[in-house]
Amino acid sequence: MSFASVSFLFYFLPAALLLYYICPRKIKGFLLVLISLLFYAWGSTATLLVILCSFLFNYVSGLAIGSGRKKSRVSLIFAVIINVAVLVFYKYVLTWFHMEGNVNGIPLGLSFYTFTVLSYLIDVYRGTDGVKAAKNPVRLAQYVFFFPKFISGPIEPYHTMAPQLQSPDVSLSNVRTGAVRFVTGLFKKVLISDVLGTLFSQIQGLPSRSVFLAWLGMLLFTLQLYFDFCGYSDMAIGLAGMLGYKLQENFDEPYASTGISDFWRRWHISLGHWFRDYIYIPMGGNRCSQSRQIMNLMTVWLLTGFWHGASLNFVFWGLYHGVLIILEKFCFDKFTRRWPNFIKTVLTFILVMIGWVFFFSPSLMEAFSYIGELAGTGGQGFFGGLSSYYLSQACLPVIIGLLFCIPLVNKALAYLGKSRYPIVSYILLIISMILLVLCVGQIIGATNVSFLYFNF
Amino acid sequence: MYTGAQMNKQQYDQYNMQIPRKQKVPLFYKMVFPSLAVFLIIFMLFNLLSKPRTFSSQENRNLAQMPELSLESLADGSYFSALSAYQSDQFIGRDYWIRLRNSTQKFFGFKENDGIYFGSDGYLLKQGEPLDETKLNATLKAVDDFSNANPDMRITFLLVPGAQTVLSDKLPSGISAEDAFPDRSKAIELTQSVLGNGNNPYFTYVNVENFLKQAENTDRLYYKTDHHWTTYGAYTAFTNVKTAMAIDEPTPSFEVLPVSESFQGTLASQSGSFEEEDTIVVFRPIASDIMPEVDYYVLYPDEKIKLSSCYRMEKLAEKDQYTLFFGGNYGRLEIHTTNLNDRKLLIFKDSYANCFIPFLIPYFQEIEIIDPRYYYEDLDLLIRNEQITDVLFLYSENTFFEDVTLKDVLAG
Repeated sequence: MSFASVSFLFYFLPAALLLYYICPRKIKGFLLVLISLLFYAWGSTATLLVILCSFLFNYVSGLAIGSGRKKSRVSLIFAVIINVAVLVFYKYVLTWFHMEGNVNGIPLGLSFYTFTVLSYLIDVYRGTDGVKAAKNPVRLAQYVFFFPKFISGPIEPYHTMAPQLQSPDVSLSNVRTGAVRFVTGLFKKVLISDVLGTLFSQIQGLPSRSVFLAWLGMLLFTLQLYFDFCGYSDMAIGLAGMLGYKLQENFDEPYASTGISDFWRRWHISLGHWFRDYIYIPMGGNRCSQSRQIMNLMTVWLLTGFWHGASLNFVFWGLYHGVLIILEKFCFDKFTRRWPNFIKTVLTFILVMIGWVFFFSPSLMEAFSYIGELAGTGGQGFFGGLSSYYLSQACLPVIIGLLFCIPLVNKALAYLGKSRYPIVSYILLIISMILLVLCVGQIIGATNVSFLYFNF
Repeated sequence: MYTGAQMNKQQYDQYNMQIPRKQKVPLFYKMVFPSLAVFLIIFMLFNLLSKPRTFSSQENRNLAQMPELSLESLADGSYFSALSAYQSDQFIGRDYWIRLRNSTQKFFGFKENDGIYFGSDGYLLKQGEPLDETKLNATLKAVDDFSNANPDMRITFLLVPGAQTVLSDKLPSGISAEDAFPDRSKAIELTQSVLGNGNNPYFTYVNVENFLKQAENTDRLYYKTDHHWTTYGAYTAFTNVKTAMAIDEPTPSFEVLPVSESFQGTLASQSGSFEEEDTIVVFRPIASDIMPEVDYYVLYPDEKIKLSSCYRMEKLAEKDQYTLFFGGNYGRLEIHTTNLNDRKLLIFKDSYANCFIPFLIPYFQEIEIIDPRYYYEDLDLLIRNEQITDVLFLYSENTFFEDVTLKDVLAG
């Protein structure tokens, strides 16, 4: 169930929060697990059993790893292999061998779930920040099934979440901040991302594109993906806040980055941290020879690509970023260090956009043919075909999208939100309520199904 | 600036800006949560208390109802998807939320929604579907075979272009008729090549595209909010197809009667754009010396009823007012007239024909109307029993290119 749906906003969320707030402190954790399981079942009842079995296995594994005996290393390796095998089976093997029909659906958010569970197992093994295996399965379930982050993150590491599980801080200030964060995310997702997405899919659906249209389509997707994912993370962080939990930030104005490494410190931060903490640093990180370091980086980026999807596109996309980062680190940094930030930001933005072509194209071949269209192989010249038609439609959405990628604009908004002048607060509240109404229109309107052929 | 002994941040702030010790929660933050809570809970209560609707006339479909909870539906996941559908279908004021979305999209500058262009002067125009050549080829082949197998019948084949072709000047700027229906020229070429080489000397393929484009007042040929042509469109085509159908009698003069001014058709529903209302008119023949009045009745074999008019005024109270003409689409209808000239016409058609057929009534003794989408009987038997002399195929391009039922009916 998407956060931006009627069921979630007008049934699940109010009911869940109401129950959660009135429920005694002691059993809030247990209630949260029940709510989270209902959330999961709503999206994919058929795979609930799979995920529960996996949970049970990991609970027992955690205890084995945390027992502190010599066997713990073996237990960890065994548990990691099993978890990865389940992920590989559902996400890759089924797709590669076209066997999706043979299973009862793919467990919801499996990639995020697997990384969450691995974080638990490894943290327990290492004893990061003094964490221990969860003896109480409810605590572990709270962490693993936590519904705000279950489907698409942020991938919260266990060691930062563990201290919160016992007694979440359901304070008025957390609830208030969470609510603001949640509606911000909702606006980003529904009023910006979905609008951009509508135009993008039309342009992507054209048989071929002029140079202008190819660039416009790529820009639309670039903005759509950011507002979709960032909006979703905002909603997750906001929901967690309303429940008394603190999740880490997932985005930090990524399109204002001044380099690819910088971009990855600001885009899907929780995933980057995961790979850094659980793959890159254990492999030696950058405290080793240059050649080893390059190998480490390529491994991480290959895995990052794989994690995003089973098709070759994603692998290519991951390697593309890996190569760019290595080049940036070892070759270009010397030259570009003194360039003005503005130029670095623009260059980074273009490189990232080109990367997204591999993300949105259905196959590697189509990705390369789209890249060709950027240079004019679409056969429609620079501004031919439907260029002017889409230019006029995309103007406002793109301007709005780009505007909210500028750090200064977001800072100004945050500043206004904290204004001490009541009039500013009232105006902001009225605008927010109007936007909320528009959101509901967008969400319900999207389900408009009219049977044109019914009465032809 | 104060540079004295150690001073922490808070003291520094107090010193400079006289902010109270405890940072006050910004007013905006105080208000958002209660406002959001009230907003969500009010709608939740409204939704829980309101009575579910069974049918949406705006969307022309049955709305999802509360699903029944069972172990089976829970296990296969269908329960929750049905529940979600129920919750969004039954949301209070659903029709208005859909309209709100349309307005929002127009605000952003969108010029189409769900395959419908927002044209100028309030026209909604549908995008043409991609062509499936094998499908069309099979239909055309069946028409050609039928024509060759019945060389003694006068067969007229009339294909009506859609508004996106005829009213291309109403398309949003930057969109040509070609863009709005990219595969049309290919489809027309195929049609001409297959039907142009038949052996039946009495077969005529009439292309009314040019007649319609050259009509006096093209604006009124199509509805703004519906995918059909108007009675004016049908009339224009009729005056131009008379010769091909060998109708030698003169055309009577007509009195044009507006019967509805509140028609909002399928394109309004599909796009969620309800700003315009269309007028539906009917043409009432004025009896004169040159063209005496012809009486008729319409027989509905399935319903076993006979009506003395092809206009069913009670349908104007329904959402799809276009069903005024004959009450919609039936597998088979018969019209019997007092013009005993022994000409018996068989029509294969889609709903474009419904407002066209009234013009034909005075010239035939009997008209058999078949809508292949709902017709499952023996065609040969009908042709023999009714002693058919004339045949008319009347389709809109948009349906004909997609049709899969005509070929089966023609094959028998």
